[in-house]
Amino acid sequence: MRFFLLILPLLALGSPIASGKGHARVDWIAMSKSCLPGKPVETAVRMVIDPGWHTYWINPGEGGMKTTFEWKLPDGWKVGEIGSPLPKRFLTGDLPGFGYEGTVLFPLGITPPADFSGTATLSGTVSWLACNDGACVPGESEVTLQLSAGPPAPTGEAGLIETALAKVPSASDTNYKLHLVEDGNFLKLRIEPSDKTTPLLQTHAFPATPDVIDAAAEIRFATDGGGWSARVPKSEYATRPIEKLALVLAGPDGVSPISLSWQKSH
Amino acid sequence: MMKTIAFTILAGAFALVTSHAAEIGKPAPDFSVKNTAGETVDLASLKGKVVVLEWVNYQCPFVKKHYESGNMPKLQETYTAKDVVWLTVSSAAEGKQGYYDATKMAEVAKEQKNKATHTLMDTDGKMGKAFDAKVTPHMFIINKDGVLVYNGAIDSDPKDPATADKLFANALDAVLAGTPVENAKNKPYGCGVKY
Repeated sequence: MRFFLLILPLLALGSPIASGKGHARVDWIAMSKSCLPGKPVETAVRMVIDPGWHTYWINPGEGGMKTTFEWKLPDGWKVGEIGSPLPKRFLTGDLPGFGYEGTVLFPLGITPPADFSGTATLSGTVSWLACNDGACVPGESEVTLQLSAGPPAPTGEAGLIETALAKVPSASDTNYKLHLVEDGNFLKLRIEPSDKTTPLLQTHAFPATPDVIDAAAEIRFATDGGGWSARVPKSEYATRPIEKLALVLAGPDGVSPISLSWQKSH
Repeated sequence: MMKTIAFTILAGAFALVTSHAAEIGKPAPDFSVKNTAGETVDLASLKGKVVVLEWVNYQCPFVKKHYESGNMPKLQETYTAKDVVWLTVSSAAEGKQGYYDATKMAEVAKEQKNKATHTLMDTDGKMGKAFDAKVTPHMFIINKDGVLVYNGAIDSDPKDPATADKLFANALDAVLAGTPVENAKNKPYGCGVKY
């Protein structure tokens, strides 16, 4: 009887036992389970989010929280910066946010030491906040990855990681220049291409820096001379002069995501 | 005809602007809401007192952290002892996460060692919307003249209240000391208010 009393409230919360804590499950996958000493291997943290729930991007918008990663690596191993794929916009109740639904892969390049031999176990901790309209639940999970020294051999997940890499915005500050001017409660943004024939794919546009642009605002650039301009409402939390902004843009269906950055010159 | 339309549009635009009522440095929106004992608490009658508003949802993990660690009750105890009126506000609609009827809310508040002056039952969300309370916990401070002087987070770091920048407490100390509030407006973290 006592057993049922314990179990029933858990079931009422939406079967956390079946799905993992925090309405999402994570694991760490690799393009190859073997790698040569000193040669990088592409891996990814895969997050499978329960239907109806979402987790958050590097700019969570309002009320959310970005997903964070911490690594525990054996001596001599190096990790690159984890990739954050193009997010979606959603509302949590009334709060506008950016993040992920369904399955999302966060690509991560790993480099073994030059004297790597045998097998190594890498581990990390992923922390996130999952929300739906009714509730927010924090999640935290350990992930591990075992790699052996040897010539690379693609795993069954190699294709997934390849696809995931294409969804991560690439820094394009050499192809485009982003400008920002404050204008009362608005921001005037301008993008200039280094090559006038370069088009701007902007079906999707997201502010990657939190609290600069109003998270609810749609960002649309109009052709303006040799570049593109947009006027967007400032975030109500931008109470001090804006120092920097990173914007992420992508074409239809999220193709060719790019990241542009602006920094105030002093 | 054209003029009427233009006027209507203007009036509409004006209404949109003024609906952002809770602005730093402006009089706080008036409210009149029942506490868990069924008594009406209204802002007008609190003039001359520093008033704290704390949006709550005891089922929200961010709120839980501040109650289970004892941080929120300690703040309530500390500042009510300094003659601050502390109003814990629940704007959860019936059926939503964090909603309890007044009797149950009073019980839960007691269990959680809530030391606020009152817990207000803003079940229809009117007070929450007037202040644009977005998350739990979301903190507001109203000074003795009824002016809103703080709108923001309880602290800077949801992961570790112990090492976080105590944004709200610093603001309240400044208000009580009669000095300007730094960071009077900042983005609160937490669960969305379940209107």
